[in-house]
Amino acid sequence: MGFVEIARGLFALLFFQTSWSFQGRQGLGLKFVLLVTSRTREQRRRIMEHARGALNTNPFSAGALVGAIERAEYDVQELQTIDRFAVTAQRVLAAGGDVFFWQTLRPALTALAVLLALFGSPFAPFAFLIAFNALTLGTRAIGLRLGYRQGRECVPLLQARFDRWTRTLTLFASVVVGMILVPALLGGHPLHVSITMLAMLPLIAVAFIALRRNVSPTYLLIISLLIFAGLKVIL
Amino acid sequence: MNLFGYAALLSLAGALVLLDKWTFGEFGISQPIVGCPLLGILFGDFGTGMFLGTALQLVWIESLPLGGEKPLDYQSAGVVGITSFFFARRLLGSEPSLAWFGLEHKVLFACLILAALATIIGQYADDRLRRVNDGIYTLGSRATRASGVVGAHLLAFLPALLRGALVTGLFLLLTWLVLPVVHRLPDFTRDELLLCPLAIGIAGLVKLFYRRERIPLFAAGVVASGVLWALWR
Repeated sequence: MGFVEIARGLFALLFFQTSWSFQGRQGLGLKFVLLVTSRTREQRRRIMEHARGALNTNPFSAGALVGAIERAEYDVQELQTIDRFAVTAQRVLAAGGDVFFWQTLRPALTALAVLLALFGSPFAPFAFLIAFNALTLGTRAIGLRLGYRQGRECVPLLQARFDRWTRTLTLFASVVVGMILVPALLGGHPLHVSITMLAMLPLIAVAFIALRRNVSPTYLLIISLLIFAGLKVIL
Repeated sequence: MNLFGYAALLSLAGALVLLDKWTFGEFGISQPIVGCPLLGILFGDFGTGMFLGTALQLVWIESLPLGGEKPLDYQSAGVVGITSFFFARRLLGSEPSLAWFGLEHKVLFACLILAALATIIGQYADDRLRRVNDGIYTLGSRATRASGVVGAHLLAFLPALLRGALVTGLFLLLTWLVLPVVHRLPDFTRDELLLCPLAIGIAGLVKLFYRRERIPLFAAGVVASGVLWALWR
């Protein structure tokens, strides 16, 4: 798979979820990406004849799935074999991808951006954009290449990478969470902790208990803001 | 530009940002910490964009789309928060009797409440959009030519764009409705307005990342940040 094929696949993958529906999930998206990345008329004919059902995986790890299916179509493997692989691979890639991208990478990078913003840096959003896209676009491209080269073997390989990256990033995120506490508690007064900011610690404790009990952050925000406004009026 | 044109422009900008949620790319532009400052640059107030982006990102930082689960639509919250602010500024700016600077933080308070409500309406609109996409999926599945599949798939851009514009537009209308009572709110500072989102955000992050064995890492972060804070100040 050369640079042009990877670039084309990467571009098509940006539209992977465009038609996400309850009925087909990303099924139509997968067909779209496979059609755009297919190289021969025969390949396209096979893709069109093959009625794919619903599919749901992590959009950033979908590159590996697309690469491996494209390879299988190129090798003219049996359609049932390709289907069996797709069903298994989508689940494994969804599990690993969700834990890495949604549960670890995005909160860690947004926490880092928030930290930069609290320090008054105007580059916070751009730092998030660069870091997030380097990893998500990179994984899509690596996945495409790995899938096309290794076929079905790409799934455990990518899964192992996700596990490794998740462990490392979790450690980094723990440090960032600790770092956020200082500007959050001190606000604009580094040595003289203001009364308002002293309210932060009990507020964090209450919010933590509420979130642990699955109270929606939406209601938590509305209620806390209204109580705060009420207290301002009374005091 | 008249008020209606300005509202249409804000709705379009909001809809384009919301396409990033899952329709196209998922570059992270729809995350409030990015979307709000970007819209802030476009409409002339980067500082408020950063403020609202930080606050709104923090509140839903632990809302995760795991295993096909749909989290609250906090991307719409970001877009609604900042577009409502600009619309309110425009509305108040056109009335000489109301001094904008006295009302800025009260308007920000109202924008935070509207943004929170937008997560609920946004999620409902998301569900409707996915139902519309069911029809598009059927259309694409029945296509016999490659161009039919490609066309059906890309057709889904239209309802997604419309969904973003409708959600943003609806909250601009709500901004217009609640603005006459905003002056009755108490006075706030930006630090005070950040208090609740910050507390919810830190609680969410601790819930996500806290494990007993990681306490030394948290402590290291606190010390490092303390040193940086002292040097920076």
